[in-house]
Amino acid sequence: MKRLPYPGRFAIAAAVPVILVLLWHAASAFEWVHPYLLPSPLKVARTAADLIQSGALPRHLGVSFLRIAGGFSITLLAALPLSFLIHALPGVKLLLKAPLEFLRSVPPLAAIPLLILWFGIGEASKTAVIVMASFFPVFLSLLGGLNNVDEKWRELARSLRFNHMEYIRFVLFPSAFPAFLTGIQLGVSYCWRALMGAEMIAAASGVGYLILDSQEMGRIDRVFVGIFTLGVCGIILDRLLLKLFNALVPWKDLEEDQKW
Amino acid sequence: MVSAAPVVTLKHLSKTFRQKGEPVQAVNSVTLKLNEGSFTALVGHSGCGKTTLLRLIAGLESPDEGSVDIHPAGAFPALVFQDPRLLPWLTVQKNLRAALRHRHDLAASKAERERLIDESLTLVGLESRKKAWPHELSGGMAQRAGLARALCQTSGFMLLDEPFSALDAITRERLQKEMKIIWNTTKSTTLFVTHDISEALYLSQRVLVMKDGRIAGDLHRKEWSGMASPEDYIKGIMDSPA
Repeated sequence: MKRLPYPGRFAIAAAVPVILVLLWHAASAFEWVHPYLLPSPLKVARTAADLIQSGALPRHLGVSFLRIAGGFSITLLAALPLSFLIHALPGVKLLLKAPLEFLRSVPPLAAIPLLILWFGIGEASKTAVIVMASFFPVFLSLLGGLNNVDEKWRELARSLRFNHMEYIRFVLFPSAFPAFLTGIQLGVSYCWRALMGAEMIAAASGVGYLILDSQEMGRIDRVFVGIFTLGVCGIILDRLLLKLFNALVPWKDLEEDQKW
Repeated sequence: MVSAAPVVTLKHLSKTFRQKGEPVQAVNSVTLKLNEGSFTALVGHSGCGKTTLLRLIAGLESPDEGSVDIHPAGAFPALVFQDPRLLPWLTVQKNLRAALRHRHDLAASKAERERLIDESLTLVGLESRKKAWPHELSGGMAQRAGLARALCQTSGFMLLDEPFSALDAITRERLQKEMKIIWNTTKSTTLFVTHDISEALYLSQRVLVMKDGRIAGDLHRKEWSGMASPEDYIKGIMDSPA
């Protein structure tokens, strides 16, 4: 299909969001929906500006980012060695497959009551929710990358008489690297989605807290600001990671793989 | 003048695969010698067993019966695949460096290894592209880089598995000429698998014709140079009833 020139593509891409905002404005202005439930876009924008100006939104955002950074670091520390161990030692896979499959099937939100009992209502239980949400995308992507080294590279390694360490260095790691980066990207986006659940646990700050607290206070405009913050930051984070990771793997276009 | 010392000796080499539960004999009791410094082409129809024979010599398959002896003991051939098979995460130069790791006959000095890499790239006309990534090379260039890797990997024994078959006609012709110049320069013992009879006759001193897993014909240049149409003769062997 012929690619449209940039202004045309931009107009098409912006059409649905613009129509939705206009509809939202109309619904609010003509009170198709009660203004308490659906504040106008202008009111939400004004509230966002106030929250930014007062420093509340950046502070909540900063806390949420720190939580994600902490939880995701633990995810990396657990998923990296475990995926290598399972790849290298079939016995470990056999041993851990059933419990891991079970854990994968448990939604992190379902575990919140237990996490509160075990870790209390402090940061540990919030971190645990983030770890539960992000562990499997990273672990499974990396394991998939390690397990799916193309036969032609294995054959090349044999023809070049690579020993085990050379195979790991020249073939296995670099071959699995793009999958690992995709796993990180996916994992971070899962963290971001799990943030709401994590910050439901007696939080006093964070974007998830901002949303829940605003709901309790009947400030639906602030709920909207929180939701938009999550959506926009999620997109920006995802794009930034993709650009960064693409620069790390010049031999592969990760963006191309994720186009839809 | 080609030396008579054999670099490769195959004795009653056989290999059977199972295809849909049925045994298929890919290589059937092949016995032959490849002399040092010789350029031998192995021709045959698709599925006749020529690639399997090459893979057995390369050590990528284990024979069911028979033996592959490579002289000197411990030496191993450099292999050029049908596709360039350059590791995409390494530049051309680093691909060659990785292949050099087992050239134990070379002095350990880095300078000597780098010199060999430069020489090999110069031989294939890629000296200016050594910092390039494989995806930045055209098909012909990538295949040349694969050839350069084999040239610096080996101390004198190369196996090539239809290396030009995926290239367009003009690039293929150019690479055939370059291959001839390279072999005249290096005099590596070479086994070149192809299904293209004219390519085999152009490049090699000896043509082995493979049919149904066996060597059905073995011609030397001096034998076919007197023939009116060696292509037809070889084709006759390939198409003769079993």
